[in-house]
Amino acid sequence: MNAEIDREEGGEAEATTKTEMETEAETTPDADTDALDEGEWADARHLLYDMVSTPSVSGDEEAAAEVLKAFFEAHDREVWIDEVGNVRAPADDAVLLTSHIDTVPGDVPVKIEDGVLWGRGSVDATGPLCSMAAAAVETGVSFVGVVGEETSSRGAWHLVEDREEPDAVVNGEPSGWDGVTLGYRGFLSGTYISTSELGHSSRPEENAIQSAVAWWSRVADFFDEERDGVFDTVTTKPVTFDGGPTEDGLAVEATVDVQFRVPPRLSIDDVREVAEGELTRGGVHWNKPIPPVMMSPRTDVARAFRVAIRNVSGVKPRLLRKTGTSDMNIFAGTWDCPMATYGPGDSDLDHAPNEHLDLAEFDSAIDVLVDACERLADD
Amino acid sequence: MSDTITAEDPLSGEEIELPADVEVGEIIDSPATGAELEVVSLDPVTLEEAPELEEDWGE
Repeated sequence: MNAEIDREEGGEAEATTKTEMETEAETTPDADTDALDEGEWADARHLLYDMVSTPSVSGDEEAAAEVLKAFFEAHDREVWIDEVGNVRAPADDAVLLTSHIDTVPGDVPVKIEDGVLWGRGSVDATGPLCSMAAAAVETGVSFVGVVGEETSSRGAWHLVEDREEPDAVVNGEPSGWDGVTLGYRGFLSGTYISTSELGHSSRPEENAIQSAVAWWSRVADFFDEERDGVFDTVTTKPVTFDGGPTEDGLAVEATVDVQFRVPPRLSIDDVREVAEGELTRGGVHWNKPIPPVMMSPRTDVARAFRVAIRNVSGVKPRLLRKTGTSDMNIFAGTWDCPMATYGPGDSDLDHAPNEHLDLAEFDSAIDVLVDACERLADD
Repeated sequence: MSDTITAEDPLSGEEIELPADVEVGEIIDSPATGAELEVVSLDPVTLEEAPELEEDWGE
């Protein structure tokens, strides 16, 4: 249910039957919802609460997309849901604000306590998403809520193929309201497969399982180097490992799913070449990679956010580079315009069982976004 | 009319020259120290050491 629409239409609650009200009371999350009406951005707080209360695990984002679409409709904005499920609200392309609708799984009971909203997605990334929706409505810039960021990024991949490049992009992920993210490592994943003839285990020849273990060990050792911080390193991670006799009993097969986080100082091809160069048996099937990204702090977008953060609070802005990967990598891999990632929330709470967002921080992030968007639209 | 203005380098205390059309939020390289400085106000022109790039986890 969209509380915003209910309030705007007015009187709907009075028409609700007692039975419906009782049913709703039983299913409404435990919350001090009075906090939603506080401050300049009450509208956005209600959207945030409704979105966090609407399950939107990757692949099942339809209900949340409808809530988001209704918010734009209520503000007389052109909006539609595209063929992959993205919520598209084009307007002034001086800036495209975009964040993801989907969340990771996990039941974090929705509640508001002491001005803090608890719930899955409150930080990653429904908080950033709703702050951007509010700022887009306030300033008239373009907006897209994308699907599938937590899995295949299918929404972002579709967007870069289906849309003109805007003048600037602000991607929504938690940076903290006083921070702005300029870089992410890239992501490469693949599946190693090797087979060997099945022989007696007393024989000395290396079998497929030993080849797999040895290959991964060499690859991990190659990238195991000391650097200042994690961002500039390649993080290697085996995520599944399987091996044993094939069904016909004639061979031994080993498969390893592997992942690499790739810093901007290297290309995806650099990492792939090293991994393939260490092969002695078998091969690797690579999945579609996501390139690393590192934006200059001197772009108009970075400048607009630094000024906006100082304007809103007087504090010194924080510039971040993150060891993970986001949809900004995909946008930067296709579009040449300046971009940054911004949003309220502490990314230590991404995917966490205690995910929560301070509503005052949410409001401050909207202030910053509005200031930055107006500055960019004026340039 | 001069096409440069001056401001104090917050790190060295020296007066340094900036383009007259410098904008708030712009990052410049200090001719005195080479450090990155940010223009945080225009009236008067005030410089601060630009924020360092921090490392964070996610997403």
